[in-house]
Amino acid sequence: MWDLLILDPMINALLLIYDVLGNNFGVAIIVFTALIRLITFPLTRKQQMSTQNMQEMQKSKKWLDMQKKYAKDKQKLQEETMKLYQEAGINPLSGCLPLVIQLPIIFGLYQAFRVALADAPLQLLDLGRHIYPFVSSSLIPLDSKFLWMDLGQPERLFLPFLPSFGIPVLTILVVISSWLQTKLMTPPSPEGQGGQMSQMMTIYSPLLMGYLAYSFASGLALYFFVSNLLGIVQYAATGRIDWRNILPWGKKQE
Amino acid sequence: MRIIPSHFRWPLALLAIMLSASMLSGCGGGQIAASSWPGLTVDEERAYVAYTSAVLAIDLESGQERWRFPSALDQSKLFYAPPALTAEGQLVVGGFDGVVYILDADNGRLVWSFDEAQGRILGGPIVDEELTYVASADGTLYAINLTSRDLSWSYETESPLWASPTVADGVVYLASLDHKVYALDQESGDLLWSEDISAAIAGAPALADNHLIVGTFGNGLLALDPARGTPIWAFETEGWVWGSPTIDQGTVYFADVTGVVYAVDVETGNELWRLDNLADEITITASPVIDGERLYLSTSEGIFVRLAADGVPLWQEQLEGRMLTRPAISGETLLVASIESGVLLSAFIAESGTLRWSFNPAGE
Repeated sequence: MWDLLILDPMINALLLIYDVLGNNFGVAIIVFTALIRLITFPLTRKQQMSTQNMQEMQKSKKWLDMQKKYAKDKQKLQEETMKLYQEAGINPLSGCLPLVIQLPIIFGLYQAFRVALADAPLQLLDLGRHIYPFVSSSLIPLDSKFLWMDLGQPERLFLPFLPSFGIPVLTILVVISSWLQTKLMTPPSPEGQGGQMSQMMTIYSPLLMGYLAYSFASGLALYFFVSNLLGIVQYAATGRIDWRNILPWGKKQE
Repeated sequence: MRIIPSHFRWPLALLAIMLSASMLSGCGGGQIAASSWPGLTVDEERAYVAYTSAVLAIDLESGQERWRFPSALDQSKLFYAPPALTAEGQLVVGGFDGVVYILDADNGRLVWSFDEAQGRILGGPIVDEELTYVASADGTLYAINLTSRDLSWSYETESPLWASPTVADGVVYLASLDHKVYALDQESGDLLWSEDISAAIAGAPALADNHLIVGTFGNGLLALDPARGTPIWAFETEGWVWGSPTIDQGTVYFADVTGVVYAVDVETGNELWRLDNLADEITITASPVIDGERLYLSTSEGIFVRLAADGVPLWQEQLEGRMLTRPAISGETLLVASIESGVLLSAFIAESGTLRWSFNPAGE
């Protein structure tokens, strides 16, 4: 079922884009990422709207009064918070949806890159089983080279004056772009536990993405990087991006 | 994450991290999966099996291991290419590390090695007099002098080479994943001709009756003129043709990866017969083997023996695992190598299919 619904469509979409774009797998990944972003845009937009509503609610007098009133009774605070969400028609779990959708896409992509960029007989035999009949066999084997990278392997850049140390350029770009995306799309946090957690997410989320980019095929890292950039562009297009969030002299806590 | 209440955030983030790490690791990390199937070669006394971390010599009479190379586990070494025997009793072994190892076939001791190749060696080396021809995944064919231990010449193609070359009449024929077939001068390595056939080739070309035959990933079999490389005929198949075709008495025998077996006239490319019902979910990557009137087919589902003249069944045996390696025959013994099974090598009486012994390296 996984192969039928996720893996096979991804592999064949990648192959078709690769075919159309002159057999460049790096460009195919970039275009594929843009398509994924486009397809998931309605959900992303919904999540952003929900975030905005939440932010407005958290600035309201009612919310602030409630925080003060039940500051010492966390159980009661949670109950009252949930009531407030219900009254405002906000589903707090709706923010999980993009995450839930992203996970199978990431797992599927990782597998798709691994299968599509087969570099040994058993793996190539496996690829043959995933290809739809209408996709040309003349594409096989795919060219995994893109710029200095082998998209089927973790990325490292070896410079002539530093031949023994590979610089993980793409990993660094993924960490920076993930941090930027989290920072730009997360409003300044209120004081207290919620604020601390939000700040920790700003640190840990890019580190997790960086770890994945460092350890796994650079095709996946390329997807992360391009996806982060497009995420920022999409958010900026809605006009709500706040560049002051990334500046040290930026907006202070309200 | 901002809209998720604080009491949901960390469990969800933790769940995402754990899922990401475990699923991605499970997909590709951890234990190293085999990259190919075993390489198998036989002489009158022993079978030589190159698979994962060792090359094993197995006594044909007893089914016991005689030696292994390397004698102690070395995780940097992997072997899949079928070894080649020289007239001097040496075994030429291509490693996944790109090194060509020359071993004493009697005891497995390393005599010398050649380490100029930069890519994995998947296609079996070919020995012709004092030269051995080794195709590497770095895209280069190396002609190595076994006497002087020097590189005689090399020829670079545009993509990895997985197929063994074919040497005949002073010409080395080379098929590549770059969709081309090359003919090189055996003495100098100079290019005589190359032909783009628009599909990758993983099996060695077969030469007979003035036809050079190659199976391709473009769902077909092609016959080329060995003197100029021009196409003579093309035969369409149901799936990729992985293994090298086998030519015997004017007939080309081959199979595609969907498990269909074909017999085609070498002169005309006309189909003589086909078998498309060997088993369900079957895969064939191995070249068929002809011995007298019998045709031996090693498949993912077992070993099938048919009458070469018309494909009529003689015997068949379902085995555990997948049998993707070309079977080998020594005297009256048929040898079949398996993967994804406890048994690496099985020996049958070729005529009847009676199991003589099976070899399990883990049981040693």
